[in-house]
Amino acid sequence: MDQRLSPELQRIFDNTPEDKPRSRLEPYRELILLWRRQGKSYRRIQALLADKCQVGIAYEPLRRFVQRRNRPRKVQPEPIAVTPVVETAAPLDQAAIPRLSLEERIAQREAIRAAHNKPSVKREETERVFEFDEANYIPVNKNYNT
Amino acid sequence: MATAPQIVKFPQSGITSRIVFTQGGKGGIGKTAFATMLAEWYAAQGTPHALIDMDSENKSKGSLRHFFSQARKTNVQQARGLDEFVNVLDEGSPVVVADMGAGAGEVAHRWFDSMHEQAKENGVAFTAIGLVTPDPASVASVLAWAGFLQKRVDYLIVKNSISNPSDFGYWETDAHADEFRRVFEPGVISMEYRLPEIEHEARNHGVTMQAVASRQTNIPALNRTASVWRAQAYRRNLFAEFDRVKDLLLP
Repeated sequence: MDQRLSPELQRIFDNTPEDKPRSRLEPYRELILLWRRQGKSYRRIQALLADKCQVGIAYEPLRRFVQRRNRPRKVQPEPIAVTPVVETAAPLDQAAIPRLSLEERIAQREAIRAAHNKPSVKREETERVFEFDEANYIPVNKNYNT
Repeated sequence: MATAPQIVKFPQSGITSRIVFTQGGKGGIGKTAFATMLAEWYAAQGTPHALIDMDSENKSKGSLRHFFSQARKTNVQQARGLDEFVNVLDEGSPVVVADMGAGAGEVAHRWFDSMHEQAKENGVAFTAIGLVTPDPASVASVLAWAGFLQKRVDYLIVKNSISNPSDFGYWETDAHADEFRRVFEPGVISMEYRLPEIEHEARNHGVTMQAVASRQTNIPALNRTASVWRAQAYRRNLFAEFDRVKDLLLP
């Protein structure tokens, strides 16, 4: 689907602040889902979050968080191609785009969503504590003024 | 064969290495004389250290490499700038002494802007050596470097008596210098006056004060008892100054 917006809509979109993550578990989403895929129980993940990430969370909210994010979304039907198929010189098996499994698509989406939610790391600015303008500086030796 | 880097990273703010470099601003203020004595101090107490000669003038006489053949000559004007600072750490020396040439400011400032955080994360601390003389330009140079480096380095100011007596009034009474001292609380040491016949002959022949002090040279002017004793006294006095600020010179 073409995601391009008109300049006016793009401006509105750009000026809309991003919503804060709805759950404070959001920054740990990938980690939690990986633990689940490893077969760790909710109780175990709850303990790990408290121990390794200093995040206290009750059992039930943790379970809901995982289940909501693990639920596969409705798969959109493939759009019907409206452009005529252009024959290429490439053999069919090379031209074909490999299809991803549902699980792989979900993993891809999760990775993209996690990338969106990841807090931006700002470059540390050098704290300026001393200003000096060499061009306009004339050193003073008070010993010479006495 | 390439060897694995030996920098040990301590994430708990542990400093594992220290790079001590002379601020390359004003020329002829004693940067190399200082770096030479500092290398002697490390050697005298058995501290492993690497030497980098960054004087881009490539002087055959009077550069750090002229005194110490093991010093690595590096051209700071190349695109990789001061990367040699950290490359030599791979060899396992916890201390690097780098003698910058005059006018190396632009390169150093760019390097610090892009690499300092990384170095800090890897446990590398920096000490910038600012040499001041009675010449006001030496003071201006120190202050200009501080304006770029800010608090990314520790500062050690060396009052170098290039005449006898020396008036450090520009360093001691100027308002900007006073502000520098207030903000950065630098260590301050004195480097005493050296007789020209010793200084010039030592430079001319690439002879260290250690060699003069222990009569390991056959240069007549440096082999006289007075020269030997002066070299011994000079080393003793300056080493006492180094001891006073050793926290700024060791990791």
